[in-house]
Amino acid sequence: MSVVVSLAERRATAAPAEPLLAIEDLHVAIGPPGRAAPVIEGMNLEIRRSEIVALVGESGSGKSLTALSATRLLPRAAEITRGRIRFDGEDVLAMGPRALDGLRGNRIGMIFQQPQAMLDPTCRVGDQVAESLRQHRGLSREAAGARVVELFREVGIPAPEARARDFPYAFSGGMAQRVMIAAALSADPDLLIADEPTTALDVTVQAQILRLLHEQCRQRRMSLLLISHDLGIVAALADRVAVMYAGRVIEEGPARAILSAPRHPYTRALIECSLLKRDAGGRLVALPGSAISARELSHGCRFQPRCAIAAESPHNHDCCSNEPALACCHGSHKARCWAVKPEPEEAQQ
Amino acid sequence: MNAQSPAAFLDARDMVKTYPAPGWLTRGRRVNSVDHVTLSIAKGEVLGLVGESGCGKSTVARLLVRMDRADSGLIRIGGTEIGTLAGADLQALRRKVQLVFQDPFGALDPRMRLGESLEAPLRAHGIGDRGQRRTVALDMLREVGLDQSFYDRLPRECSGGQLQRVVIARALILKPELLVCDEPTSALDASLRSQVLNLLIDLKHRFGLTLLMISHDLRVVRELCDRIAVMYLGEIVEIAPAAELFAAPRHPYTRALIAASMLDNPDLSAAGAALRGEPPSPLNPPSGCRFHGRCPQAEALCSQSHPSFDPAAAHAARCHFA
Repeated sequence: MSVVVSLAERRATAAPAEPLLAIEDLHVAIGPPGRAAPVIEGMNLEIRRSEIVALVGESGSGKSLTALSATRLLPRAAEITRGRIRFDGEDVLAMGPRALDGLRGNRIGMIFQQPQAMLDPTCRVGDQVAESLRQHRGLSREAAGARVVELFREVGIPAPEARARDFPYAFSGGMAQRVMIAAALSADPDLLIADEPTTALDVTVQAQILRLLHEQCRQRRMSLLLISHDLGIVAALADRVAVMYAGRVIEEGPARAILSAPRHPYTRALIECSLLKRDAGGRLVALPGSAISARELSHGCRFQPRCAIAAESPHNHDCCSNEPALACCHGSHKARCWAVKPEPEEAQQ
Repeated sequence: MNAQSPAAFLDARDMVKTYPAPGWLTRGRRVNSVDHVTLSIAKGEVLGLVGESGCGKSTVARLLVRMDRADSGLIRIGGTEIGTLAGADLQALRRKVQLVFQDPFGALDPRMRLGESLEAPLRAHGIGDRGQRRTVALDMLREVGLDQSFYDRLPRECSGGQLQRVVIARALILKPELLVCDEPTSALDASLRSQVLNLLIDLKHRFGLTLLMISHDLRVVRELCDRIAVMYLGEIVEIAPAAELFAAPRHPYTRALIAASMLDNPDLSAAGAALRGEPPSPLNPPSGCRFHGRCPQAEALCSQSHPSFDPAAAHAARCHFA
């Protein structure tokens, strides 16, 4: 119990204005020295305490690398070339191996797309979760085992005592993801990073897992960074949404505002794709091209080659030559597009 | 749609497929992956097959293209019984029926140029000489909306959406009559999913294809299919024209699937209440109606007697209360 109390104190005493995680002007490059190609350029993201933020974008947009940067778990080929990352006021980029261990195990939990691949097939599932409890919390074997059963119950695994003794092959994808969530929650982290947690799961189980994540965050007053390519699905449980394209945020704001009144043409297209909307001719609305070539552009708006507005916009010249800034359009709703006009003050409530 | 109608291009009756159970604890037992499934697809029709993982929908696909042989049952494609085909006749079936899988990265040899991969079916069937095969491959690339530069590219130089186009092009290069797509868009981003679905619709019209679309995503089948069959634990539990299935689903499982898919309104509170738990193991299917353990309307009758099903009806549901 003492652990819980101290955590509550820690949360209560921290200054409320300070975001839990602050990523500022992050630049990440991948490749051999000298020929490294930038994949994230000038990424900014803030997550406040007990806030649920969805980070959305296509594969290759840099959303997973952003999350890995926050825990310094980037693959060896990738390197942070510039920027600042602060977690709870501490500089993550200046941390030594010990401090990083504490950060990853205790303060930030992570779950990924392939829950089955994260479990050792030769060990009992309960033992694997208990191991992190013994390591990070210093619990005895018995105490850890009891806590695992408790955690399994909390994440909705039926017959938790029996299931803890099962091996991973006996778990379906949805149940394995519940195990991963239990393992991530075992350290009672301040922030949970969920990277495409439901992409490999059935539609029916997707809703269950998303609800579970939402519930656990609200109960524990934990922050959640939810990464996904499907805006329509994650926006429902997020407080705030950031949309990434080609290594930068192109739109950011309250989830409700982004879903009901998206400003950036890319965000609009993502929502229409997610809901499989049809155009006037009865075809599904699709985004032409793919995001891969955006990296090769050296100037102008990165989305311009795929943008329907850019072709006929009076800003066309700007679109091709200058990259727009992430500009405020309504309250905390920001978009990176030349065609977006900031709304006058009186229109805002 | 009558199963006996002469227009049925694909006619599968009472297909059964069992596999040996995995693991030493269950050695000697068999899993009923597909349990007396009857399906028919008319020429030019798109049939959707939906269900959760493990319900047997991919096994149905494997049986229909003769990647696996059914234990019992009768499968006719274009009037030919395919269960007993061998040699040249089987080769001929391979030209008529093609398959597109979920993962385009796994479906293409990472060391082969896309052009070579595309031509592989032509080579295997001894069609054309080198120059002709190249022309056909380039034509096919254009059909799926890729330019000629893709002919010399390697898979790692392309996005998932581009590769799935190549996989579809390869499936169509022999001009098949039936295309079986097993989760063709599940590995793709939402933004690329629409591109690939549009392509499949276009190609269906242009090539006069008959399509079987397998997916766990009701949003996808709703947009694409004429008729939809819902599978649960190896059985078809409901089959109906697409619009009717969504407007008036009769089986509680179908209703739950529709609610859980968050179709038009991504609202978590509505989705969660719909379907509790996960399907039971097909090793020990429940007595009576296989869905009764998860069904909100189950009564005593449901655990005792297995509901009947008339696959020849236009809209059929395997439920005592439908």
